[in-house]
Amino acid sequence: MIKIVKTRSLSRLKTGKTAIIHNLKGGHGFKSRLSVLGFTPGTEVRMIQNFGHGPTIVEIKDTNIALGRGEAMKIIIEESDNDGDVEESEKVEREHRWKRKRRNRKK
Amino acid sequence: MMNDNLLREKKKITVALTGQPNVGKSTVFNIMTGLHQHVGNWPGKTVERKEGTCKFNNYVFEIVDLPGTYSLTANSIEEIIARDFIIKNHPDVVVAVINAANLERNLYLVAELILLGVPVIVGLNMIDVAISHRMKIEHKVLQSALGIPVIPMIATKGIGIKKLLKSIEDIYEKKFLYKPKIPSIREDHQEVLERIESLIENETPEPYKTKWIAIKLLEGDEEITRMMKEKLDENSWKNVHEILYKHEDAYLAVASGRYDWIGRLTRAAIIRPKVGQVTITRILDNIATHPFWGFIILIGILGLIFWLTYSIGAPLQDILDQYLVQGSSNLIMEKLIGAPNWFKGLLIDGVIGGAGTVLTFIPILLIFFFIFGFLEDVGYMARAAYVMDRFMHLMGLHGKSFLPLFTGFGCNVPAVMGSRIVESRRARLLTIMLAPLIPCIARIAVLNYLTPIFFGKLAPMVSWGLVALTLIILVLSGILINKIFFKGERSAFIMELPLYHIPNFKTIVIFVFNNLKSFIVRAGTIILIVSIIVWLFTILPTGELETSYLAKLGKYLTPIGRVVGFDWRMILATLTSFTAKENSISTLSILYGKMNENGGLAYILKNTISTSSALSFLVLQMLFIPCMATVVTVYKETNSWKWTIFNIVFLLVISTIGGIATYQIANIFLT
Repeated sequence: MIKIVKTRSLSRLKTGKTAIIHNLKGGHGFKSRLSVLGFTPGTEVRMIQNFGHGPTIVEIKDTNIALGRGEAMKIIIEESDNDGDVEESEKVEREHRWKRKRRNRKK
Repeated sequence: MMNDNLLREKKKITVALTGQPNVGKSTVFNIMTGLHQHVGNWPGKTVERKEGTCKFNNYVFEIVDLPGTYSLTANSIEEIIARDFIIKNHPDVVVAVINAANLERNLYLVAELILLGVPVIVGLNMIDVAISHRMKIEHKVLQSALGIPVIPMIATKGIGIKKLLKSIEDIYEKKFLYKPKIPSIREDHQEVLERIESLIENETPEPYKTKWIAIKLLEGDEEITRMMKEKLDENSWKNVHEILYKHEDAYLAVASGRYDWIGRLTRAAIIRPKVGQVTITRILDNIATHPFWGFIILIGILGLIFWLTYSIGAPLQDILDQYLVQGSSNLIMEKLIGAPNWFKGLLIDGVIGGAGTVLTFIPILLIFFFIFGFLEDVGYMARAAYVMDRFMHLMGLHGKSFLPLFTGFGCNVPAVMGSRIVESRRARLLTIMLAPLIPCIARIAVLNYLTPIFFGKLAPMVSWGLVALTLIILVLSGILINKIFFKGERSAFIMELPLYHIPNFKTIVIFVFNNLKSFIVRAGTIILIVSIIVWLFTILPTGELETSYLAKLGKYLTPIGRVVGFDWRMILATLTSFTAKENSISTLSILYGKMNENGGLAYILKNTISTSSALSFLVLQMLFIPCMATVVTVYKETNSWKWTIFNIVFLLVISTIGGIATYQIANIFLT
């Protein structure tokens, strides 16, 4: 049976809420480093601090890991109904969208 | 007598000590080896290598402290060093130190180590931290589940160390039934793994194992992929590459497989508290990592460090200056009356004036490093890096770069060396390039000496203003260098925030001792030699400073001096700062002191040098090439002539531009 899940990035997870890791995006070195720290599909992660801008702190495998916002955006989690969404500041989202466009254009 | 020696001959056991960061590995190493340790570098690398010996029963354990790493991938040089040592040097035993409060994640490294074929012993450290967080680890359950020894320890209290040593002996003498449970790859990739294994079976070079190579290939390991590509013939590699290409996500299957293995083993062994239990760490971090309050707290702590360092350290330095420097100079004048002048000059101006003066900074450095080491041991420094990441980010640096850069306020040498904690080579290079711009204690001493003379009551403002200016230039330089040489790359910000814990006095003392020792050694060697050489240039060929080679050089550079508002004496003072920054003051006093026998140096300076010249002198000093000791350290840490020369040229350029700009602008306003 194929399970269809709604996903979003970890950077939108509200402080105090827990989610399940679905997937990782980005370069190989980056993904490898994260998987070593426990960010593998099916693992539970809890948001400790998320202000919608700036770096975040998450709890995974009993440790607190600080993640930059860009990094948190590349970690995809399964969406669940009662998670609550964090408004990422407009400015941050615009910035990241622009950076992605610039990178893709270079390719 | 000979028989006694034979009886006492002990068996040698080589032990590799491994562990992830923040597990207390250094504490374990220090307890096992005490003072019988030797710190150096891994051959050809700028990674610290610590080894030591430990006597236990009839054995001598030769312990090598491998770099702390989260895993054994090819992503960093530390990991490559660690895995190469175990695979190629084949130690008798590997001890993996683990933080009991972080059991699951720490076991990831063990999952990798077990595959290497050397017996592994798990040192389950920091039991006290686990208990204080209401976690209980059943080590016997863990041991039978793992099939390898698990020794509970509290290294900071010395508990469990003897048991660990006994376990090493037992493993070596095969008295322990060593039957490790090997982690496997996630089910859905088992077949792929077997296919790769069969393809490379006959081509695996010694001393690697086929299974390990196959897993590394699936993980996308750069070093192993390169190695096998060369080893296999074109056709075989094509087959392997095809499989790897189709299964690009295999690294996830490997990692998941290891965490599944960990999960099964620890399920029965860990008893956890209720989810969401509030810990001291959480409470403190609510403020410490807050985007605003965390920053305020950091500024406060930094301010405190400065205040303590200078309020206690400066008077101590004065005392040392009086008794050590002046005292021995006077002693030499007395006792060696008959000795030739040049000899007295060599001792007083060359040796004591150069290296000796530098040693008076020890009280300040002691305090600085002690506080720094304390904050590091408590676990606060990771929070400082977190708070500063936003700013480091601007320069393309990781928040971690803040820590070594901050030590630069004490002395640039440990700042350059401290950049080893930065993981990416690019960020490390950039940190090293910027470290010399941090005003060290010596440079601030020059500031504090000259500003009151020229600016009277405004002196503190001018001093702070100059420090702020230097830091702004540092940030701008960082952005510039990063854009030009590194394509404006950013560092990925992924950092563990360890639990706060009660500091261990011994660890801090060893940290301070090591840092101070390298400073003193440097003072005793490089600074001493350069002091003597510079002194020679101030004496030859006539014996008088005004007509010496160095003075000739200064006079030759006068045209440049005019643009920055320097006369040849100020140029000379800048040149001698190459030995040690505070030498500019002593040079000024020698050169100007001879001008007028009446009135102190301060009076003379005030009346001979214009304020704009003085300002330009200060700006240039702050941005100038660092002392020789720092330059040598930059070379050692970058391993590259190219970058060292770039650093020197870069600083020459910005200091000259800074001096010109300051002098010309100041002239407009001050005349």
